[in-house]
Amino acid sequence: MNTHTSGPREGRTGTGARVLRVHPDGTASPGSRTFGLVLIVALVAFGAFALVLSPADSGAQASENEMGQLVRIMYVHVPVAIASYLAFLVTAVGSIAYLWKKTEGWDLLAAASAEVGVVFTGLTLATGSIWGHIAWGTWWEWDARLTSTLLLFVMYLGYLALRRAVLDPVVRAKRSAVVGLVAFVNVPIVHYSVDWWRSLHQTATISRFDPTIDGLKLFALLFGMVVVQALYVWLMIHRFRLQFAEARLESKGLDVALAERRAEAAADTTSPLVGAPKGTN
Amino acid sequence: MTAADAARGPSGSVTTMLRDASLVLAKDLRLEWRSRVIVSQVVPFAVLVLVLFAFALDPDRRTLTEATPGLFWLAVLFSTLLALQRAFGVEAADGVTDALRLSGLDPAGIFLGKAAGIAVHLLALQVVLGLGVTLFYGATPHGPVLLVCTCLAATAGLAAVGSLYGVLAAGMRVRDTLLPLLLLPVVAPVLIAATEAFAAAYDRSSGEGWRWFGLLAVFALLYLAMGIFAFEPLLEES
Amino acid sequence: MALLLAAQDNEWLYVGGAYGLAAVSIGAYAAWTIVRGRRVGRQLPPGERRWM
Repeated sequence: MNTHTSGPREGRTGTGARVLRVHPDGTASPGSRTFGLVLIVALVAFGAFALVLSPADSGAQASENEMGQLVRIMYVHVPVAIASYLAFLVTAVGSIAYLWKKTEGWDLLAAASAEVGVVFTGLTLATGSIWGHIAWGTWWEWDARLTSTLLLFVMYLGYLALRRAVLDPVVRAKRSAVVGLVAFVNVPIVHYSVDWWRSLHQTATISRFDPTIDGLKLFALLFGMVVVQALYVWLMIHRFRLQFAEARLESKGLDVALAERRAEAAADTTSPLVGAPKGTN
Repeated sequence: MTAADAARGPSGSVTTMLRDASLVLAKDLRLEWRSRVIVSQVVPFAVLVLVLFAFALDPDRRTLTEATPGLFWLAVLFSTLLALQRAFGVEAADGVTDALRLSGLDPAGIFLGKAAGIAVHLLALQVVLGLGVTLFYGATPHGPVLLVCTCLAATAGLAAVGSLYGVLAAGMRVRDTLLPLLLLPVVAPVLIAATEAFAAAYDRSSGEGWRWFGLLAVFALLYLAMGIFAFEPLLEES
Repeated sequence: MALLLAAQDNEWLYVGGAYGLAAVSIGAYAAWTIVRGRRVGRQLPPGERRWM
């Protein structure tokens, strides 16, 4: 396993076009590089549609809510929110599959997706808050959806903290799989409880974003959804490979430590008169 | 794991589970009876929290009376954290987790036993806290049935999630800081539902309160089932 | 009229803020992930990087 440490790194980069030559140590591959380039083009096109080409919400038509330029925030807020739910769904699936199959890959998938999900959830909260500052006049409103998203965010922060805190890979996988499962099962409970809680106390109804939009605005929103989900997939490709590489590095470190331990033990038994080799490092 | 499988017959698994649960419960209660850590430390802490709430809020009685349900359950939550750290710190310190695992007891039984032990401690705590809010905050309940049912359901939920997360965080160096971060967001619905049910029991008609009790019951059943399902992989590790 | 214009400028500020925040945070996260991947990959023998 350690024999070809000094193997040639060149020649592994493939024979693709020059632009597809990826960093030899990185998590990119020609495929993911191609995907990334397409994604950049799509993101620029999305920016054009969302910020320039689509009209403002003027309230001229029956389907409009007089949100003005603010409606553009929705083209990024809603897709990012959906991507964060998708990410946590993948984490939950990975957790359940790990508890069932006990194979490392599911744990890596759950871990990678949870981190991407936390980034997207943070962004959901931030963009929602920016929108709310104009629409509601406050940065934060104890709205059911907002509050349960915040709790979701904190729960998965805890999940990531747990992963950082446990050193043994198998123990970490099991514990975080249970937490990943609990966090996901808790989502509907949190949602219903916060929903009921708000409906009790709420006096004035908050203007929600539930407009029926059409035309270019609808296209911008749908396009945003596709692009952001693709962005999630691209991030996941890299994040999963990173998780995989970290796991390999971890098991390699464990192997080295085990070999050292065995060498010590062997030295102990073969030469009992010399005593244990102290301070080998 | 093989020992547990062998001990647990294919037919009598439920009775085995309950028997093992009662064994673990009896062990934990005996341990508490001898050490009296909950009685002499956690319960005084909870009462102290009540007094501190009074300092933080207006000493004027009306504010405290209105906030009583929320303050009561906040005090319960904070005390739950302490009780959990006590209950699972004891296990990790003496390697009792290993002993439990090797004993061939049913993992689900161990879970139910731990949860029952924590529930007993929490119920005792709530009796003291209930007297405390009556005494200090001048809150008098109007719906005693709803009050008791809420306490029972919320305690079952807290004990179930608590023992699941307690064993999960047990034996970790950062346990004391990680457990609150993991547990508190998950039990947030319990805080909301129990507070609302209490508010209904204290000053409004109890009609709304039973809906919250339903949520608490669903929560408790869900996490009891989850603990029974998930405790085995957590125990069989390291 | 001036009020309306001011409100519109303000709106664009918020829209720009939201898009800028999204671009910067996702871009920073992607860059961080790639940098971490290279740092970890450097420590691994090439045979262990199966995704290539």
